[in-house]
Amino acid sequence: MSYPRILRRTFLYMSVLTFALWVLVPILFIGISSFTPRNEIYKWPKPLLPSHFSLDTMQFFLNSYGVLSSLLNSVWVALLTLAFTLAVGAPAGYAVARFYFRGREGFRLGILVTRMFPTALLAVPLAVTFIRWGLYDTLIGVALIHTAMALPFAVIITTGIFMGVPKDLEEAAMTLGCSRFGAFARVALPLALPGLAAAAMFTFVISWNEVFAATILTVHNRTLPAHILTTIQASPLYFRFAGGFFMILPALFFMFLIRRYLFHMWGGATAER
Amino acid sequence: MAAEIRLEKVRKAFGKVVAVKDMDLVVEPKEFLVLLGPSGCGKTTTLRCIAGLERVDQGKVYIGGRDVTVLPPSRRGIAMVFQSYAVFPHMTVAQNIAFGLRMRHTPKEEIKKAVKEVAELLQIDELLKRYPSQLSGGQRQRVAVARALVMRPEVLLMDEPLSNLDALLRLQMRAELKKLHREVGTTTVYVTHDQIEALSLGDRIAVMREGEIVQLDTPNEVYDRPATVFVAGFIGTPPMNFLRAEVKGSNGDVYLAVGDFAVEVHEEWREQLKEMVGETLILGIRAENIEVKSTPEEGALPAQVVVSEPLGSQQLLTVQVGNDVLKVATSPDLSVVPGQIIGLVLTKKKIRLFDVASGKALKFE
Repeated sequence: MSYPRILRRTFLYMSVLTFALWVLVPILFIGISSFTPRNEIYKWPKPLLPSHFSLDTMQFFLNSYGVLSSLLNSVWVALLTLAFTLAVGAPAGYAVARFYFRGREGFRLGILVTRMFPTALLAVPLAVTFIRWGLYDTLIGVALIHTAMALPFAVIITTGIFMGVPKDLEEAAMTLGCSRFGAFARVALPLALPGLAAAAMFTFVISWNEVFAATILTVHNRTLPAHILTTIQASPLYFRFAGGFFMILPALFFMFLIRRYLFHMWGGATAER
Repeated sequence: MAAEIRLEKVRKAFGKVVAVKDMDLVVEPKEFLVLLGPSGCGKTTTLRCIAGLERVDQGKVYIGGRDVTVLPPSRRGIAMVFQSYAVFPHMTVAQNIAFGLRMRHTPKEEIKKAVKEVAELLQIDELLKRYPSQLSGGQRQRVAVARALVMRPEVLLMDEPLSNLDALLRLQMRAELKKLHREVGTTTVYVTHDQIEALSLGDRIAVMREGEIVQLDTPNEVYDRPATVFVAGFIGTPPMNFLRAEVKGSNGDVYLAVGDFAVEVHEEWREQLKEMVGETLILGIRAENIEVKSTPEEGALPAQVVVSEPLGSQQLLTVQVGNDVLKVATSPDLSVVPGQIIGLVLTKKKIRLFDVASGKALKFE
C-alpha cells in the first residue's frame, strides 16, 4: 500500500471512529446511568460503572406522573401513523415501481418536497388549522402530522422493495388465472412482506421520536417525547437519564433489525429499471 | 383442446415506437409456430398481445374463434413460459405447479394427481418439495413448463424459454420440448432470436423485422428460399453469402456477371432475366452450396482464401471474390492455405436472386 493511501485510510477510519464515539458515548452513559441506583448518580467523582445494577431509576421514571399515559399516547399515535402511512405509502410505492405514467419522476422528487419546510415554520398555521378542524390536542391529529412526515420515506422505501419483485412473477400469476389484484396479493405482497415490515418499523420510529409537532399540537394528550420535553427542565437528573434511555430503545432495536433492508433500499432505489 | 389463434390487423405502439404493425397471423390448431427475429423486432410484444399482458391499440385477437381482444390473461385459455421462468420463489415446486389449478378451484385430489402426472412427464417428481432457490436453471425451466402444461391450455406461449440455459442443456431441452409438443399437441407460439432453435422446433417460422412478418413458411422454405435479403442474412450459420451480379445477355443467351466471371443461370429463369439485361442484382448462395476446386479452373469462380477454420465435421473457408467476402463450407480433408487462389462452383439450383433496392427475392413463375 502506498504512503498517501495509508494516510487516507487512517484519516477515514479516524473520522468514522470519531463520529461513532460522538454518537455512542452519550448513549452508553445514558444507558449506564439509567440502571444506576438513584443516589449514586450525583456522586463525584462519578464511577464508570455503578456499584450494582438497579431498576430503581427506571421504575421511578415509569411511575412518575403522566409518563404512563403519555407512553400509551405515543404507542397509539405511532400505530395510527403506521396504519395511515402504509395504507397510502405502499400503494404509491407499488405504482411508482410498476407503472410508467406521465410525471412519474416528478412525483418521486415532489414527494420529498414535503420535507423541505421545517415544522417550526408550519407550527402556527398548523395549530390554527387543527383548532379549526377540531383536531387540536387529539391523537389522530398528531398521527396525521406524523404520517405526512413519514410518507415520503415510506414511498421511497416501498418503491425499492417492489422494484425488487420481478414483474414477470406477477404476470405469470396473471396468466395462471389471477386478476391484477390477485397477482399482487398472492405473489408480490408475500415477497415484499419482509421489506414492508422494515418500512413499517421505520415509520413507527419516526413517529415515536417526533417531538416538535407533538409538542405544539397537544396540551393534555402529550406523547412521551412531548411529555419529557415539557417536564424535563423541572425533573431530577435520574429522571432525564431514564427517560432518555427509554426513548432510544425502539430506535436501537429497529436499527439492528433492518440494517439489511436499509442497504437493499438504497441499492434498489438507485438501480433504475 | 388445441385452439386456433388469429390476429387481425393487430397494432401495438409504445409511445412513438410501433412495436407491432398491423399484423395478420393465423396459427393453426396444434401447430408449433416460431416467432423469430432480432431483438426489438416486436416478437415478444406480439406474444404478449396474444397472452393479454399487453392491450392492443388496434385490431382483434381470436383464440379458438373467441374474440379475446379485451379479455385479461386469466380468461384467454392460455399458459405462458417466461424467459426468466418466473417461478414463484416463495412456493415449493409442487405449489408452483398447482398454483393455476388452485386459482381455478380444482378439487384437491385432482390437483394432486395432475401435479404428479405433469411432474413425471417433465422428470421433476423428485423435486416437488423443494423451493426454487434449491434448483438449477434447467430444473427451474422444467418447473415453469410443468406449471404451464398442467393447466391443459388451449394455447401455450413461450418467450425465449431456453435462452438462459447453457449450450448443452439448451440442446437437450430443445429436443425435449419438441417431443413434449408432439405428445401434448397444444397450439404453441414460441419466441426466439436463435435461428437454429427456430429451424429445429417450428412447424412454421414467422421471421419478423421492425414489427412486421417478413416471411411465414416452413423451416425448409425459410432456409432454402428466403423471401428477402434480411431473412437470408439472418438465418443459417453462416448466413447466406451475397455477391453483386449484373444481368448480361449475348446471342440470345443470358448470364450473371460477377466481376469478369459469368455465372450460368437456371433454364427456367432465362426468359424472365432476358428482360432485365443491364440490371444489377444481389446473388445469394449458401456456404454449403458452393463446391470448392483447389485450383482455379474453367467454369469456376476464382477466389482467394483468407482464413480456413476446421470445425470438425466440416471446414469453413472465408474467401474473397472482388470486394465481396464469402463463407464456404468444404470437407475437412481439403487442404488450402491462406492466400491460395481457388475455384468456386455455385450450385445453379440453389442460387437465390434479390432486387437491390427492395431486398426482395425475385419470383420466377
